[in-house]
Amino acid sequence: MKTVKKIALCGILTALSIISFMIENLFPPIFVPGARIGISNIFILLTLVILGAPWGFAALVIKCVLGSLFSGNLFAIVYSLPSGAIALAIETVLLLFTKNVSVVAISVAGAVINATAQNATYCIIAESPYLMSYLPYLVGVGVVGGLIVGFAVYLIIKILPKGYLGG
Amino acid sequence: MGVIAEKPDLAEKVAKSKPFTKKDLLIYGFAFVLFCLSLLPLFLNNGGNNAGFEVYVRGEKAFTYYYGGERFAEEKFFERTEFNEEEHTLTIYFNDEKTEYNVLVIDDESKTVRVKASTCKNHDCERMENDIYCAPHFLRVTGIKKSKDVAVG
Repeated sequence: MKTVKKIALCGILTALSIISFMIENLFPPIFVPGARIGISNIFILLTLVILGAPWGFAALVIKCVLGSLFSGNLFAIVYSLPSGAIALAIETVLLLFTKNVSVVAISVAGAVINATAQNATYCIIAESPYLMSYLPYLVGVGVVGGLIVGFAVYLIIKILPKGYLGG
Repeated sequence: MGVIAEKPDLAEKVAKSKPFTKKDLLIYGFAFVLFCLSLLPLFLNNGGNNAGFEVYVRGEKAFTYYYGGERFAEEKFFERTEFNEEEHTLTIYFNDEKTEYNVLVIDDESKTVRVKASTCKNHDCERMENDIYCAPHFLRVTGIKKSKDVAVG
């Protein structure tokens, strides 16, 4: 595929990711700080699946930076970017090197790792290990969010016409 | 519109796959184990056994409070902290205009402290208790653990 078309598609998916991130930020977190479904991850995972790992990571970085900038909470980059990168790396490894594992389960793995890494980062910055008490809730919300994101990506890939992705 | 992307291996792999396979159980099992392990820190949070709490702003100690009433503010933060006896609240201001603040409400009976109101963007700190961190204000509240008396002899 031509690089220009890859850039265009990556741009569209990144923009959708940023928009959904900002819309989700308008709503309060689910019970505990930082607990969100992560609808924006649908488009990051789609970028990873359709275009590959480098484009997926580029979309993630742009989404974290611009999303934090536009939502007025620049400090959120400290939490979202490292945990997002770790989660996306895990998802990439699972997608590339495992057989017969569904994208839904891979999304759940990424979401759980993301929640854990984010909470750990929060504890390190706050210098308080007691904030790890939020982890059970974050893991639970992460599983639900991962299932939703995974099913959405699965359906989008299934429903997209063959001509859209080639073949 | 035409073809705008070749069908990469990953997309083809996902398109041909099912939403659930037997191997997924390994990942769901891992998530369950992680959830169980994450329950352990719940036993660490012994807020009810704290003797008091300390307030730090940008890493500097601003205020110390012991449940039962003893309290004192650091000299540098005399003007930036206000204790209300009636409502039993502590207000910490983060600027000279006093437009940025967090209000902590203290309960001496249950030995807990939480944020009642704040001017930060997300108000995440209002959902915390005892060990509180407000990232936009660089505010940290940590509990003072009770010291154990050791019998000698």
